[in-house]
Formats: sequence, C-alpha cells, structure tokens
Amino acid sequence: MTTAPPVVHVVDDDASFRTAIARLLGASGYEVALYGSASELLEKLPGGALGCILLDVKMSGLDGPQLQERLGELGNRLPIVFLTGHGDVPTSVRAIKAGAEDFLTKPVAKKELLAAIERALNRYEEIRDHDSRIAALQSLVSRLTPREKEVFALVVRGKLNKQIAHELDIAERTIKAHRQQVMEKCEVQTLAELVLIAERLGILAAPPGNHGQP
Amino acid sequence: MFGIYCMAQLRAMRRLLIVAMTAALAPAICAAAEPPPRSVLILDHEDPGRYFYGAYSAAFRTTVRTGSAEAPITVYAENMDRGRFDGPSYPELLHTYFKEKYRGKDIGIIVTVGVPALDFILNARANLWSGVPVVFVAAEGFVSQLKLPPDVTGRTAQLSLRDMVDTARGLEPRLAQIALVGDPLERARPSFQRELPTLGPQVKLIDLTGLPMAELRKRVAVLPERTVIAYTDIYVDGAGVNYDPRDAMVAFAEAANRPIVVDAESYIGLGGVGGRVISPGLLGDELARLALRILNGEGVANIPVAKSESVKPIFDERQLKRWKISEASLPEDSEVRFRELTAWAQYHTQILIAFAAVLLQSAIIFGLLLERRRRHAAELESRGRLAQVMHMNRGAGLSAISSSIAHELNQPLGAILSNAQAAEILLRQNPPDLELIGTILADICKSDQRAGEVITHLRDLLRKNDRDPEVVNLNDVIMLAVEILVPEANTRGVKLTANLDPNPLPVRINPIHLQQVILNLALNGMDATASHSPGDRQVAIRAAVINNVTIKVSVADSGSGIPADKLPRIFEPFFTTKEKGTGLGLAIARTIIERSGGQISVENRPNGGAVFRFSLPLVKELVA
Repeated sequence: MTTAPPVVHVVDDDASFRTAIARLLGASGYEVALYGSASELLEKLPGGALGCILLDVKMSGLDGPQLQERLGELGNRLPIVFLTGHGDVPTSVRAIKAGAEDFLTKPVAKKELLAAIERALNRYEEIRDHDSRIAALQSLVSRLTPREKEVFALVVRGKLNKQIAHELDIAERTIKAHRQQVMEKCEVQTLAELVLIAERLGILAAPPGNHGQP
Repeated sequence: MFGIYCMAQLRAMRRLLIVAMTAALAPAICAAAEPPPRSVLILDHEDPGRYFYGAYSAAFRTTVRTGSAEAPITVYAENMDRGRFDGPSYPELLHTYFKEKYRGKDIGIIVTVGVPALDFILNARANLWSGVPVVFVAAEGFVSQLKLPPDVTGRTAQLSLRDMVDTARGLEPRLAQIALVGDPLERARPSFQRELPTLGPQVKLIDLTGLPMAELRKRVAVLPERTVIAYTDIYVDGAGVNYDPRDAMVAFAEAANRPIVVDAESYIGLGGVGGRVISPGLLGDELARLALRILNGEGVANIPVAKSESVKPIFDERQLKRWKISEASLPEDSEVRFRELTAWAQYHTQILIAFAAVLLQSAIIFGLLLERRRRHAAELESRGRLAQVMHMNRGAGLSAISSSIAHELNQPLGAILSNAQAAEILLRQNPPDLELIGTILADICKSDQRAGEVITHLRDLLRKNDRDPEVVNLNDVIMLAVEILVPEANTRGVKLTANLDPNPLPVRINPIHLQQVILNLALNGMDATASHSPGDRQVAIRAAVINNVTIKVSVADSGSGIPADKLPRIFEPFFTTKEKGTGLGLAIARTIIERSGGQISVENRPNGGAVFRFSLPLVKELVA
C-alpha cells in the first residue's frame, strides 16, 4: 500500500537501552521512533503506517501492560512486542491474553528480536488488509437506502420474497425491485456473494430485527 | 604409802587406846539400831597438801554429792599427817582433839585411808564414835593380820616391789638391774623391804634411795644397760631438802638414762613410763560408793573386804616412744595416756571442715568456670544465630526485590547486546560508519560498568561476614537503599521519597546492617500500602539531626497503620502482622539499632499509616 519502511516504536525508560535497540533496528533497516515513557507514546500516537511497538514491561509511570490496555481502548491496532528484564509468568500471560504479539526477555538476541518484529509487522499487514476489505464492503453497503437495507438483512437470512413482503407489509413486486437494487449496489451477481458480504460485516450476527449498520 | 610407819609404833598406840575404848562401849551398842546420820568423816593418815589426798578426796566428794542429791551428806575430813607428827603421845592428843572437836556432831560413817588411820580408828572408835561403821583402804599385808569387827569393811591395796619389777621386765625383757629411787624404804615402802629377799638372783638391786638430789641426778644418768628405775616417793632427799614427790620425780627423771616405773597414778606424765599404779580418782570414787551404800542402810556385813579396783596399769605413751617400748609388751588391760595424737586425731573435725570448705570452694569455682564457659558458648551461639538470621532475613528481603535486581542487571546487559549486534551490522556496511561504531563501543563500556555496579551492590547486600562497625554517612546508606528499592517501588506503584539532611550524618554502625534496617522498614511500608490505590501508595524516608547529638530517621507509609493491639508487640521476634512474614525483620532491626546505641519505635500517624522512627548517636568525626 505504501513504500515507506516499517516503523518500530520503542518505549523504554532506560535511555542507554533505547539507544542501543534503536541502533540495532536502524542498522537492520527499520525506521525507529523512540519514547522515554508510555505517556510520551500516547501523546504522539502513531497513525496507520506499517509498524509495531517494542514495549518495556517495567517502567515508571504507566508500565507496559497498562499502556497495552490504554492503546486497546483507543482502538490502536499496532501489534505489541513486550521486552522485559525479568520474565515473570503472570505478567507475560496477561500481556499475551491482551493481544501481545510476543514476549521477549532482555538481553535479547538480534535474530530473535528481528523475527518477532517481522512477525508483528506481517500480522499488522494482515490486520490492515482485512480492515481495508471490510471498509470497501462497508462503503458498498452504505449506498443502500434504509428500505433496501431492511430487504438486504432479510434476504441474506434466506427469506423468500413473499415472506419479506408480508413481514415489511409491502407488495411482493416492490420487494423484487428492491432486491435487484441491492444486488447491483453491492456489485454481486449471486445471493451467495451477498451472504458472504453480510457475514463479513457481521450483519448475520446481529438480531434479525436490527437492520442497522454492522 | 599405807604402811608409813613401823609396826612397833602401831602396837604402842593400840595399847593406849584400849583403855579409852572400854569406857565408851555402852553407847555404841545403843546407837546400832538407829539409821545412820548423813555425815562422813574422812580420816587420812597423811598431810592434806599431798596430791594423792587432794585427788581422791575431791573424787570422793563428787561421788557422794551426786549420789545423795535428795538427802545431802556432810563430809568432814581429818589429816593425821603422820609423816611429820609421829611422837608417842600423838594418838592420845588426836583422840582428845577429836573428842572435843566433834562433840555434838553426829558421824554416820568413818572412811580411813592408810594403815595408821585405820589403826587409829580401830583403837579409838569405841571411845570417840562408838558403833559408827568404818570403811577403809589400807595395805593388804596389814589388813590380813587383823580380825576386823563386823561393822568395819573396806578395800585393800598392796603396792609391791614385785609388781614394779614385773612391770620393768615387761618394758625391758633382758632386765638385769632395778634401780630403786625414793626415800629410804623403811619410810617410803616398808613392805618392799620385806620383799627384797624374794627378788631372786636374776635381778640385782641398785639402791639409790636416800641420796641428795644432785647426787641422784648424776647416778641415774649413768645407769648400766638392762636397768629400769623404780620410783617410790621423795619427800625429803639425802640433803634434808623437802620435796613434793612429784617435783622430785620431775627433777631426777630428766637426767635419767633409763625408763622409770612408778606405782602411783600421780607420777604418770611427769617423766615415768608408768606401771601398776593406784589412781586416787578411782579410789575416791570407790570409797564414796561404799560409804553411800552403808549410809543408805545396807548392812556392813554384806560388804566383804575386797581388793581395791583403783590399781591398774597406766602408761605414758611419750615415754614409751622415748624408750622405744612397744605397746604390745604392756599388760593387756593397760591404759595408755598422753597419746601424741596425730593431726587427724586431734583436729579431725577442723580438718574435715577445712577439707569440706576447700572441696565446696573448688566445686563452686569449677561450677562457676563451667557456667562461664557455657555462657560464653551460648553467647557465641546466639551471636552466630543472630548473624545467620540476619543473613537469612536479608535473603528473604532479597527474594522480594530480586525481580528488580534482575531488571537492573538485564537493562545494561540488554543494551550491551543490542549495541554489539548493531555494531556488527554496521561493520559489514561499506563504508562502515566508524564514528557511530566508536560511540556504540563507548556505550557498551558504560553499560558494562553499570552492570558491574549492580553486581557490587548485590554483593554488598549479600555479604555474609559481619563487618565491624565503621563510621559511615547515614545519607549514603539511605541513598544506596533507596537506589535498590526504587525499581521495586516502581513495580508496586509506590512513591518512594527520601528527604535527607544536607550535611553528612556520621554514625558508627555496620553499614550493611543499617541498610538492612532501612530496606526492612521501607519494604514493610510498601507492603502496608499495597491495599491502597496506586496514587495513595507512598513511603517517605527522612533523616535529620536533633540537638547536634542524635540522628533521627523516620520511615513513614501511607498504609492503614498497625492495629493498636499489635503495636506493643511489633518488635518481638516471630511476631508478624503479615501473612507470609517471618516476624524477624523488625526484631532484627531493633537488635541492630540498639546494639549501635540507638532506639527504635513505631506509632500510627494521625491521618493514616504508620511511622517507624529510629535514632542513632551522631559521631563527631566527619565522613571523608
């Protein structure tokens, strides 16, 4: 999507360690952004560019897991690789459960570190692709009129035109016209394709009475 | 002794008295039926100044007194002193004298001692004390010739030359000569004269009687071997000098070169070896018992004349030793006097007491030494235990902060590794960025030093050997402790602050121990704040000088304080308010502070939390 090199966001309160990691990652071809504390990262919250966060567990102020939580609340999808001076089991379990990509122990070997970062970046690309596909589908569905959306929600649940007409209390012929419009606006030829879109957008998960957006 | 004058004189006296006796016969018969008056007259034939008289009369009086407590008996005594008064008219004079003297005095019994006294009484009794019974002691030879009236009885005691010679032969089995010392025999021992022919050819007599004292002393000093001296009495020596026979004995005995046998107890202990002797004490007692029996109503006829029991073999052990005479050679029933008692025999009580005292003292000393050793050992043990516990406790504290130590250490190690690996990559570039690589290498050095410092701190913390107290700056110790604690405090979300005095605070203490106290108090404070929300978790350490002599350190926390009921016991060993506490931390802290001359206390703060305070004396030397 972009030619800019991936950015590794390093959060560590130890300046010497921060610098050393920055040098290693820089020499290995990554763009590096350095933050002395969790709050500093939150201030300059990075956007959607390809990257990941390398996060120290123990820091003064907000520590690693707390920052992870905060980022989740803010909807930031950057994958997080934890680094700790002392790997204690409860902290690592908590971090992984909360969606951390990896949990590394200092001092960390280059190979191990770069592999973890690569995995995180790949993961971010997947996340980003997925997100963009969903966004495209949503833009298609957003073109539907309210009535068409109601018809769409019922069609993808396998209702017959007659049933929909009865349910919405309109003529069966009108339903047919709406259905034609939905197929066109969603750029699909078959009902199966339409169902797939509904599934991806989570429309099927919503209760049948709810005709709103996913 | 009892045959002091010759038989011719006796016969003359008897003739005189027979006339008077006939006149007094009638009242004597009348008095026989009445119970005898409780009075005794002792009639002695000698002079009252003699030892023998004094000794037996004293014994006699003692026995009479003790035997008649309920009905006292009066004792009269008369001494005829026949040695010095022996004129033909003397008996008649005595008769008249007694007659007048004892007019109106009832006499219950007459006790005579010596042949002349018995002889006088037998003649004079009818006239003087008609019907009064008589108890006598006299020479057997004299008594055996008498036909005694039924109300006269007594004891016989025969001193014989034969006895002395037999005794001498016991002492000197090869006896060849017997040297006789004393007044001429006709005065001293008339009966011995009669025995002389019976001595036989084996023993020759060396007659030293009647010599002046000076001459006697010379003669007894040069007696031939196999000779024993036999002493009777010397009242007057050959030079006409009067002697107490005991003094005379002492005077010649010290010059004698041969053992001396005697026949009277009074000479024992004055230089004589001993012999079959008459004991005045036993005699007095014997006569008194006879007199009492009669005064108490026993018939005189029931008491036959018998041998006195007052004659017995008595010897002087000192003399036996002097002449090297074995006690085995003495007669079987011998009494040995003047035993030179061994120290043990003489002082055995004192010796036992002294020995017991020494033994007791030794036991006490030994006990005290043992006690001291045991106490010393216990002190060592307790000191060792304390050190052990302190170390253990420090270990426990360490485990609590081990994660922060790992963090501390891994931080520089991580930096080193990353830097080195970055440099590796940079070196492969063409051209390599040598300037950056140089900076990287410098950083690696710095990180390495930092790791080294962490290790040093760790080692200081773990060091087991107890350093002697040294003067340290309390500020430095607190700062080091804070440095160690900060990572832990951060982890726990506790705000740890240290407010120190701007000037150095020199104290004399083992710095590791002091650090342990601060670590303990601060960690306790952190534990206490755990239940509070992160913003309210605070531990504050303050140090300040009070009055220029004392340093006060306080460690305050923002926890919930210590329950009031647990406050007083908080410093007791094994007392803990924590679930996983050992209960030793504060106990050790108190020990450390008090050992360094300080005090430690705790109180709850008015607006929550507890504050531990300890003081330490300020040392005048400033820390360099």
